[in-house]
Amino acid sequence: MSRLACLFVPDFPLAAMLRTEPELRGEPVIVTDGSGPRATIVAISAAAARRGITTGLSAAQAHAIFAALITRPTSRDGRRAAQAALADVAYSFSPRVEEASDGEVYLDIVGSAALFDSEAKLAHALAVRAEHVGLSAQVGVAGSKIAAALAARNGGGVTVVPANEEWAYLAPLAVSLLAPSPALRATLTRWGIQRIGDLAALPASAVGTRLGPEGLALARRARGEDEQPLVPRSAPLQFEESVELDYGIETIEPLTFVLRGLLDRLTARLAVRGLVCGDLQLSLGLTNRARDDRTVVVAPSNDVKALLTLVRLHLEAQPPTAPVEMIRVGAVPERLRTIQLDLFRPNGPAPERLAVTLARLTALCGADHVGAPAVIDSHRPEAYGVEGFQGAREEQGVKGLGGYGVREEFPVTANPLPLALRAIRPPRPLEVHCDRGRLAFVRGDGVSGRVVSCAGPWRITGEWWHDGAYRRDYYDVQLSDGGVYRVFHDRQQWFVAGEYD
Amino acid sequence: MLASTSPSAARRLLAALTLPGTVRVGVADPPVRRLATGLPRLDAALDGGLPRGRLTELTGPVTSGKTSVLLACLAAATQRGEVTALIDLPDCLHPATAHAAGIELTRLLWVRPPSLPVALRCTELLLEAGGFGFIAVDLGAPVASHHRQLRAPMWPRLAQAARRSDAALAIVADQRLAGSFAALSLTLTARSHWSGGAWPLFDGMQLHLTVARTKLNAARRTESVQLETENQQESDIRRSAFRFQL
Repeated sequence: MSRLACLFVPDFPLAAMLRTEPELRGEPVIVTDGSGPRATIVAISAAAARRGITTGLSAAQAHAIFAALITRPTSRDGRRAAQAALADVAYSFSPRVEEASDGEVYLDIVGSAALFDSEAKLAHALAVRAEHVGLSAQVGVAGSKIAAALAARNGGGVTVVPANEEWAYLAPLAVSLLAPSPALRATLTRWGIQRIGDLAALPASAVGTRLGPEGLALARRARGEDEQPLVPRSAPLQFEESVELDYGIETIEPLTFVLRGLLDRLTARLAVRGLVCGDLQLSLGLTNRARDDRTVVVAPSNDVKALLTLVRLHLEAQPPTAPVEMIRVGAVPERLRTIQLDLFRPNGPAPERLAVTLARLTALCGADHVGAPAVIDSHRPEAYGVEGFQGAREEQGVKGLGGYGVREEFPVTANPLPLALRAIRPPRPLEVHCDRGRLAFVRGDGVSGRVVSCAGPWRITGEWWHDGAYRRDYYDVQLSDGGVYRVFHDRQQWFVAGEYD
Repeated sequence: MLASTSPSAARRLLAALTLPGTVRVGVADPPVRRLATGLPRLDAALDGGLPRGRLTELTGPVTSGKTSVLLACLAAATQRGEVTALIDLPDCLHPATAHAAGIELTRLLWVRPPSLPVALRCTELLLEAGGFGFIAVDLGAPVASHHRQLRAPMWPRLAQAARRSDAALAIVADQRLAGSFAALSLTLTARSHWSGGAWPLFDGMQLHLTVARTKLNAARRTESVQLETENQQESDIRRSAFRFQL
C-alpha cells in the first residue's frame, strides 16, 4: 500500500518572492509577469486582495485601485531556487521524490512514516521544515497523488487522509478541483454534477462513451486513482541562490547585506539536507555587462557569519570593477566531518574560526605572508617556502601515544640546543675592510663594528645553469658589539645574510 | 532551622563563612597552567614552563640566544601537538633552522606583518581565534618611532586577550616593553664560543637566562639558568673535516 505526501505552496510566485524579501510579508504586494505598467498580475498577497486587487489585472490598473501597492516582477531564478528548496525539504524525508510543477512536490513516505508517531506528525514536520527554508507549504497525505494533492490544496494546512478512505474524503469536494477543461466543466454542470463523488459514482464505460478519454481520465481522478504512479528522480546536489537588483551596488556594506540574505537561504537549504557549505562560488553580474566569477575557499561550515566574513574579505581584497546588479551564490555541499577528539592532544582552533582568522590575516599581510613555513629542496641557503596552514585537523593518528595508549614523556630538547639563525631578507649590502687578508671592519645598515672573531670562508655554489647562479664565500663574524653574523661575498660585493641568536 | 542542624554541620558552616572581620576580595584565580619549554632546566626554574593565558617577555640584545630559546619552545609545543603561531615582524624566521630545531612546521602558523600596528592586530586576531597553544610575537629591535605605539594601551588588551584564549603569549624583543602587564620576563645574555687555531670555528653560545620579573612565583625572581647552544652547521663542517682527515 502506497502512502504519499504532497507539499504544496499556494501562490508560488508570491511565495518565491517573499522568500527572497521576507520583510514584505503582510504588505500589499503584487507579483507581475514582467516589468512596466502593462505587466499582468500573476500573484497577490492577502493584504493586496483585501484592497480589491485580483490576478489578471495589469500593474497600472492595480495601482489605480491602490497606489501604495508594492510591485515585484516574477524572478525565474527566484522561482527556481524556491522550487529547489521545496525539493530539498522533500528529499530530507525521503529519497523518492517527484517534482510535479512549480510549488508542488510529491514524496513517498512509506519508510519515513515509521520514524514518527503518526503520519500527521510527519506532515507537521514537513511543514515546519518548509518554513525553515522560507516557504509556507500546505501538506496533504493520502494513498494516491491526486488525493494527496487535493488534500494539500483544499486542506489549508496539514491534512491526512486515512488509508483506503480517499474516496470518502474526495466525494464531497467540488468537481472543479479536478481542473477539468472548460468544455468538460460545462458539460458536467449541465448534467448537474457538482461534487467529485457524483462523478466517481458514474459507470466508467458510460463516462468514456459520452465524454471521451478526457472524461474517463477525470472520472479516474475522481475515484482517487492516479494516471501515473510516483516517478521519483534523483536530483543533483546543486545549491544556488541568486538575486537580481534594480540598481547597481557600489559599496561593500549594501553588498554584504544582500549576501547575508543569500547565504541565510543557502545554508538553510544545506542544513535541511544534512550538509554543510564547502567552497562558495560567487558570480557577480556587473552594470558594464561583465561577469565577475570567483571562488571563495572556506572551511566547511553553515555559520553564516563566518561565511559572510570570508566573502567580504575576499571582495575587499579584489573589489569588482563595476557596480553589481546581480549576485549568484553557489555552495559546494560537503558532509559534516566528525572528528574524534583526542584525550591527550590539544584540539587546536575550530576550522571555521581558523578559516576566518586566516582570511583576515591574509587581508592584512598578503597571501604570501601567511602560512606554514616549509623547507624546500634547494641548496640555496636563503630558500624557503610557505604552504597553506591547515592547523591540526588534517592529521591522522596520535603521535603522543604509545602502542597501547601509554603516554610518552614530553619531548625534551637536547642540551646544547640548536643555535638559531635570524635571517635578514633580502641580504643587506655591507662595506667590509680587510687588513692583511683578514676581515677587520664591517659597516652596513644596522650592522657595524670591528671584527673580533671570524670563521670561514666556506664556498657555496649552485644554480649555474640559469641566471640565478650564485658563488658565495660565507663567513661567521663576531663584531665588537657582541653580535655574531653570517656574511658572504658574492660577485665583488659583501652581504650580511643573518644574525645568530 | 538552625536548631535542627547538627553541631558538626554548624561548625562546618561557620568555618565556611570564615571568622568575623575576615575580608574576602574577589575570587582566587585558578592555578596557571604551564606550557613546557622542552628545556628541563628552564622548566624547573619556571615551575613547569611558560604560563598559559599570560604574557611572557623574552628579551635580550643581539646574539643573546632568545631566538634559540624561542625555537626550542615552539619545537616542544608542536611536538606535543599544540598549534602554534609566530608573528614575525622582522621576517627573520629561517625555516631550515626552525626545522633543525625540531619544530613541526605544519603546526606553526607563520605570519609576516608589514608593520608594527599590523603585527599587534594579527596577535589580537590569533588570540581571539582560540585554539592556539603558543603564540610568539617577534618584534625584532623596535625603532624609536614605534615606541609610542608600543606604549599605547596595547599591552593590557593583549594580556586580557591571552587570558581569554588560554594561550601562552610570548613577546620577543631586544628590551622589555610590556611593563607590569607581563606575567613573566626572561632576560638573556650570551657568550659566544670559538674554537681556536688557524681556522677558527663558531661553536655556539653559553646562554645565561635570568627571570627578570614574575608575577606568578616571587621566589623564582632573579633565578637564572645556564643553557648552551651548538652551531650545528659548524659541527657539520667539523665532521666533514674529520672525515676528510680519515
